[in-house]
Amino acid sequence: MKKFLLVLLAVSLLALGGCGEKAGGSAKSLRFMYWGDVAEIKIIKAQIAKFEKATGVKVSAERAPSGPPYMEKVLTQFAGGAAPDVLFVEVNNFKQFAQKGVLENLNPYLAKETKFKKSDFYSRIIDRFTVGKNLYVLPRDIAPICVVYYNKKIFDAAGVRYPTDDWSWNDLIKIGKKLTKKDEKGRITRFGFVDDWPIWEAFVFSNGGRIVDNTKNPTRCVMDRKAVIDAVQYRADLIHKHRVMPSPSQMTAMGGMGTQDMFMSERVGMFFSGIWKTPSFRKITNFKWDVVMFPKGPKGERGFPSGGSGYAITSKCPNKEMAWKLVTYLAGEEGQKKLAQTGLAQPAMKNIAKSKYFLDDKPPKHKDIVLDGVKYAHFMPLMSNWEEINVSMLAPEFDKIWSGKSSAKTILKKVVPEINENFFE
Amino acid sequence: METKPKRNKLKMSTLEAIWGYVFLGPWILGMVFFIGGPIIASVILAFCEWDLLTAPKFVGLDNFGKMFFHDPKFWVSLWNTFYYTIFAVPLGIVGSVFVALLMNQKWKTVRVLRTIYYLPSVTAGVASAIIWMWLFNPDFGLINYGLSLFGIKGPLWLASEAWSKPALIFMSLWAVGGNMIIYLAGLQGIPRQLYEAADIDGAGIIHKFRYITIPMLTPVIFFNLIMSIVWSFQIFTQVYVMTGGQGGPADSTLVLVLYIYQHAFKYHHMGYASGLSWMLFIVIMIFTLLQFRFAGGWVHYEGELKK
Repeated sequence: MKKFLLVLLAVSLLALGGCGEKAGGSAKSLRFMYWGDVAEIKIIKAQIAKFEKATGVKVSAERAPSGPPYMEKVLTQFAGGAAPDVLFVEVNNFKQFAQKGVLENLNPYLAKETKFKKSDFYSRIIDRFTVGKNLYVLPRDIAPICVVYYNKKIFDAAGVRYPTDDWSWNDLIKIGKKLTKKDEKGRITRFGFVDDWPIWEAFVFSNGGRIVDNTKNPTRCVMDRKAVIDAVQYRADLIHKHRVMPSPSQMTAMGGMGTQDMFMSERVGMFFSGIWKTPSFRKITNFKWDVVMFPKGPKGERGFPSGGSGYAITSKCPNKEMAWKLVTYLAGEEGQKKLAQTGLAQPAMKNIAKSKYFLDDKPPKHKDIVLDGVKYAHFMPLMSNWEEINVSMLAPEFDKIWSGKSSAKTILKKVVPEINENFFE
Repeated sequence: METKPKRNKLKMSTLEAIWGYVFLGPWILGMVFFIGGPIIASVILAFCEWDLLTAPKFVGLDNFGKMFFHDPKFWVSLWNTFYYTIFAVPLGIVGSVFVALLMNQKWKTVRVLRTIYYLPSVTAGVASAIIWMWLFNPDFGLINYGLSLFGIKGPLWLASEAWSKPALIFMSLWAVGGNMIIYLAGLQGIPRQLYEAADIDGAGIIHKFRYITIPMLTPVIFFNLIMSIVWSFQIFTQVYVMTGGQGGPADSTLVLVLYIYQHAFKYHHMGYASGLSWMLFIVIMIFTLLQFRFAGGWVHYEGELKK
């Protein structure tokens, strides 16, 4: 009988022991979730330490890998009722939270804040994180994707002058061709230009095209207009007509080498991305590089997609005042200054971006282009279904354009009505 | 026994039964909470819409309506999965039986060879997928290099719409060792008297194979057929790793489980993903039931056809 009771006790303890931690923070602690690479982690940890010392409130900071895994983790926590108190959000994953009422309106806190005010920040990024009249995310950085990195050594060897900001799409083709090198078998060993990922949006915006009729309240996809078709076709032509950019199968053939690796190993002369590649490139010794703004479109227009991130407070947080204080430590002047010095991101506060914290004499020399770039920044449609549209309808169809199997006109004329029918009714 | 004074109120058999339940307890609790609960939840979710942030919303048969009438990708993924299964399963069975026959010989090295053939099934799915990605590389991969030695220009494999599924099928064949073990056991369970009787009657090798080996193996083949089909329908890891979760190029490798994953974790349509999962379950169930129905026609148990 005794043995029986002992075993029963052991079994029930086992069952109860499986219960997890209590959810959320309390008055004396905050939970914070973020992603970031090594430089960011250091800065965040330093700011959190300062916050803990100043307020006595413990912060349990959890880092998740960036991209889809971050959203999976965060959403699972929300679903389980254990959402963090402070959340790192960027302009694209913001659309998952935007209209769901799970984030706290930050306007009242910002109004009471003495250390900085709303007008200190770039208005475009504030606008992106605002739904209706409420600001949900305090921006830390803005990242107009307008940066074309170029390898000075390759340019010098090919006898080409460095591009200046007012270069055009035609100049891009000409310069790209001069930088492309082939081997005896006719295989291309060095390309002229490559973008970090198919950044077709930059071509579309630079040609005056739009993706949806209204970014904040999209009701129609408008990508079947001529400006968009021409822009997408231009990018495809860079691959197949002018052969200055690798095709998807040529990328696969490089065996796992990414576009950034191509630039770093001098397999491409120009690399188009955002400013965040700076810390990686700074680490390479004997590498002479600089940046130039993405070229103007045929009509002389400029436009690019933009990134950007910031911090939000969840609506179920039990201690919002403390959470706001943590946010000010992370996204306030000091946090932004430290970030600027790493070159990783362009601070969302205008005067810090213009100061020597960001505009220092470390490479790239012309990093001030991103300050100009802000005026031409566009954002992706703010609707929670955009991810699905992009991944399930646009990406596979665009694959056919990038691999040369179809033209931009055929694909866009086919897929845009489908998108409108399935998502915008 | 009635004269024995009763010390315990409980009978011996009842006591044993209780002990049985106590030992089963942890497993039952685990089953109910970690498997049963989620299964019931997913049945309910299949009729709801849920984005993980807000509460689930009941939508009745909407998910299934959308699946059958408004979602061409559902049919594409179903077709891709069928295509893979129709080729991978028969080829896998033929391959495993063939290798098992080879490994059943009385060579000195047969033990080592058996281990070598079995090794691929114990490698981690992700690791082997990455190795195969390299093998399939159009320019530097060993497969196209091997083909070039015969003067054949290999296709783009994973980067080509036409060859991506065949590539997956070839890849699945390297795990024949896993089923080989089962067939080996089956082969070794065939009574030697049958072969001796056939020898006495003057049967040749082909004859013995056709009329003794295969019929006696049919129960094992049947079991394997069912398990292989169930497993092939659920292929995911290799496809996810080799296509970056996209099911490309142009949805040619979008298999059903990958599609479910996309809806659940990329687009955050938990309800629709649950509906798709139940569809997968129903499809597999139908195939399994069909196989049981037709088993009588070809599966021999103990030398007799099971009617």
